[in-house]
Amino acid sequence: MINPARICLIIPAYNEATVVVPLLSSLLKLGYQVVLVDDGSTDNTKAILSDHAIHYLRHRINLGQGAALQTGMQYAKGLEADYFVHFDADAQHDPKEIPKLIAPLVEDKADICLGSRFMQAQNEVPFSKRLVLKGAILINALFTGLWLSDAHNGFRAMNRKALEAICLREAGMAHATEILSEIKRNQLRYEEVAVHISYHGYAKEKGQSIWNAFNILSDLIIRKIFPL
Amino acid sequence: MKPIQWILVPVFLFLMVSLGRRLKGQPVLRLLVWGLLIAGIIFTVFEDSSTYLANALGIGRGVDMVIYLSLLGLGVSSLMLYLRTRRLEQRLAEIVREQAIQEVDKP
Repeated sequence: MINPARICLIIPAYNEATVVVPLLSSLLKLGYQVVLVDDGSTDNTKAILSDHAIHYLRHRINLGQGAALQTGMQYAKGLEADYFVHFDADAQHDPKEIPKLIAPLVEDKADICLGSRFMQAQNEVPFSKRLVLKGAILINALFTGLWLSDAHNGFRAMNRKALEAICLREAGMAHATEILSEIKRNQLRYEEVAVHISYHGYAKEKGQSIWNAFNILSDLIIRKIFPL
Repeated sequence: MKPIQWILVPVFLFLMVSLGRRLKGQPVLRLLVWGLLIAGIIFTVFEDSSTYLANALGIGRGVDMVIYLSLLGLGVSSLMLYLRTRRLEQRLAEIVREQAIQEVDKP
């Protein structure tokens, strides 16, 4: 049984004040270290988190989820932790699944574990979302050569080797594909783990619109032709 | 010379000098911009030249060729500006990140 204090959760948050407090309370009760990156929120996120035992970092301006994750990862390198988990602030992920997600890392079978909502039957992914995600799986494969069962699932875990190796330059949502490129570039061992994604009202409202998929695709194409 | 030539030729020359200096670090874009501006001067001074060139390229009307070239220039310029913006955004992100890490609230 791994000590939860050796597990660091990296949570990017942008205007999530209404849901982040109960989430953090449950994560802290479980004994995890939490690094929350407030990506320039304009709500009262900063004020309501002041009495929580977390590492709170704030971007002065909104940069995007990829940039927030990179900030969290860069900061987490200096923490005393062995495993690092990307966790969404909108309560779509289940904290109880963290041990399952990091299990292949603990057993040294992988350097990074990617959550997949399509590996277990009980995930009821809305049809339109399913369609876009299947397209994204294909695009990920074309851009990175990695065929996975899911795409743009923000629930991931990595060991220190992967944390040190991965560098995200895509500030927006295209970082989810960039992570796969980084896995390939750094020859990291990866494994997919079945996870549950909750499609409750708030997450659906805050989630990515289908049209955003086109923005992500254009970012990827331009980056491929003109690397940063 | 006609009045329009007195207006356009100095404007093209001014743009050549001005943009040429500003695009020093971007040789491809500078070459493209200069090429289009020189073409603009030639087409303005020698009015039939665009028609001759258009006919040689199988376009038909000189004005159509000028439109195509303008669209090409506009597209490439937009792309270059977009890439420059991305590079600036990347640098901005690094500065914001550095500041966030320095000002962290620890538990």
